[in-house]
Amino acid sequence: MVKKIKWLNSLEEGLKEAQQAEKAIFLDFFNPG
Amino acid sequence: MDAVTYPDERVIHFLQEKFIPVRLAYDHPEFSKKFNVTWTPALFILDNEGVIHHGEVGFLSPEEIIPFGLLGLAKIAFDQGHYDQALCYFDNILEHHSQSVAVPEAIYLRAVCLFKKTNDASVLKKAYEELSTRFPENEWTKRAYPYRLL
Repeated sequence: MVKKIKWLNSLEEGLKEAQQAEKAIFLDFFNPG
Repeated sequence: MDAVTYPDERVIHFLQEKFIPVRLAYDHPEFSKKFNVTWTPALFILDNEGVIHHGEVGFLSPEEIIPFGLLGLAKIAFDQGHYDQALCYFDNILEHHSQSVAVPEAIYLRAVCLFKKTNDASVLKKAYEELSTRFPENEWTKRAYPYRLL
């Protein structure tokens, strides 16, 4: 069981992975402050 | 979200299994404008071409983020004409997340999906009847109002 979500911090990278894995993207805009 | 929702094991499993999770700062120089982000958290479900199919602004609990994601997956399948796949996601919401705020929209879109698949308008009327009984003041009941005449 993965203990943390493995976030990507690049939408371009996310889209590449999503196309390879045939998955959708869950995109979260957050306030890091 | 970081304190409550994202550490939840159900959420971790769901997001890793069904999605590629991407996180960007709200003031990202390129994408905050493209996605019209003015408040956080701003959450979007995109297909693997980058097209937005679903989104919400504001905190989602562990109990709500999973049906939110399922609704996004259902909308991707629906928008791409994969009605059987969309129906599986809608049924998942209705069967396993029956207390979610996503339920009225799922009832509405499930009926539209069934209508597109079968051309049987009675499913739309049934959806209105269910919505008006269970959620009389909900916006999706109001959107389904004309279907009472079918």
